[in-house]
Amino acid sequence: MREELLTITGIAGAVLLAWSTATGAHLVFFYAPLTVGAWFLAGAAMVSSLRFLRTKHFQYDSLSVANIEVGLALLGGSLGAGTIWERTISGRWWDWSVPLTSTLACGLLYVGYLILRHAVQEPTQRATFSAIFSIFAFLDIPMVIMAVAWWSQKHPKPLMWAGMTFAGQWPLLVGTTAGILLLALTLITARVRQEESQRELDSLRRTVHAF
Amino acid sequence: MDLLRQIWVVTVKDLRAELRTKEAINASFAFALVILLMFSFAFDPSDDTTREISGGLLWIVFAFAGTLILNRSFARELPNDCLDALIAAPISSSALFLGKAFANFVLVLAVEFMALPVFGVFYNVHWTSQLPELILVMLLGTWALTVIGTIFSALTVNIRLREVMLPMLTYPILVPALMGAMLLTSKLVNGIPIAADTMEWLKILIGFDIVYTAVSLILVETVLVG
Repeated sequence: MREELLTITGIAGAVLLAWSTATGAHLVFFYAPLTVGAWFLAGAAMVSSLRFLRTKHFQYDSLSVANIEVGLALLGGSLGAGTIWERTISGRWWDWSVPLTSTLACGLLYVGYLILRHAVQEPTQRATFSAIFSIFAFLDIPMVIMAVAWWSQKHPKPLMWAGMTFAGQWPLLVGTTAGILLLALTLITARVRQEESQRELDSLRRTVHAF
Repeated sequence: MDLLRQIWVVTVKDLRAELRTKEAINASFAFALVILLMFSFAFDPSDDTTREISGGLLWIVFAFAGTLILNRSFARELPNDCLDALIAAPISSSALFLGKAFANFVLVLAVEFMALPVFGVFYNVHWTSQLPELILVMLLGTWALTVIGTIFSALTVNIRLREVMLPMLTYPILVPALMGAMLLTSKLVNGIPIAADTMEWLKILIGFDIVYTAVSLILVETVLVG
């Protein structure tokens, strides 16, 4: 039953996104939910990291890595949408605008998380160190955004959505947001399962080696 | 009172070990000189634009040179299982962390103060014109570098590719602090004092230091013991 549910949510998300694209949704309707979704997943990863440090249950570690990986994918999507949009407004692919610059800086933080995870072999140590790093990284996000915003005051730029009106287009925004959420949910669930199967496999391998 | 004494003992131990061998501090200072020289090839040192970005160059030098010292901080304890002995010693993890952080702070600051006159000469910058404020910024920026560097030095001490991992993890986290230190230093070495518009950067530096010192003190036990 859970398998079917997962397939349905994935297909529903993809259909919603295809519908909004075909209807001609503005890039902002993809950009905004992707960025907000990525911040939200970073927060969710910190909460599950804290839960892991408190309980030492590996399911929280799986949840936190799934959140961060899917969050990074959303962040990549948001950077892609942002640069295309930037190009249409200013004629340049990268104009050091506050949202894009801070998104990139925070994205690099979480790339560090994945590299750290890859470098630690022992499962408990890997989960603990990743959890600690995810707490440090999440606390950095508001400071990075503030710093980039202050830094760009020197050469202010118009807001990316300045002068745009989106009256009557809210169904498209709801459609893309729901589509992205459903897809993210599907990916997170699949990734958590994959992580847990991997852990089970590793533990079986260790048991076999012990004999 | 006991905590202060424990911190002092660890700091003095680390400083004594470093001053006897001078392995990290010499390498770090030589490295700082090399980068300063390399930058002068990349940017025309007598150019006004270079002077405007000089604070940025200086902090890149400090961050790179500082990493060499910070990498050694916990790695030095690996031979003869000294790290296990330190963790088993009847002192709290926070005392161990603060002791090491203070020792690193002194060493990184020493390299910075040795590199500063060289930088002034190479780039023809009057870095002494706002000295008290510059020292304040250097103290705050260096503490940010040291506190993050020390906790991640403890985190990466036992993992593969330790030397690569430390800068990979610390630099992205240090972005807000380094931005503040760079912008303030650029102004100060050009003789512009801290004013209302640059005060925000000082606040972000202080905030960064407080937040990450607190978080590191809370998490250091988990980092060291698991």
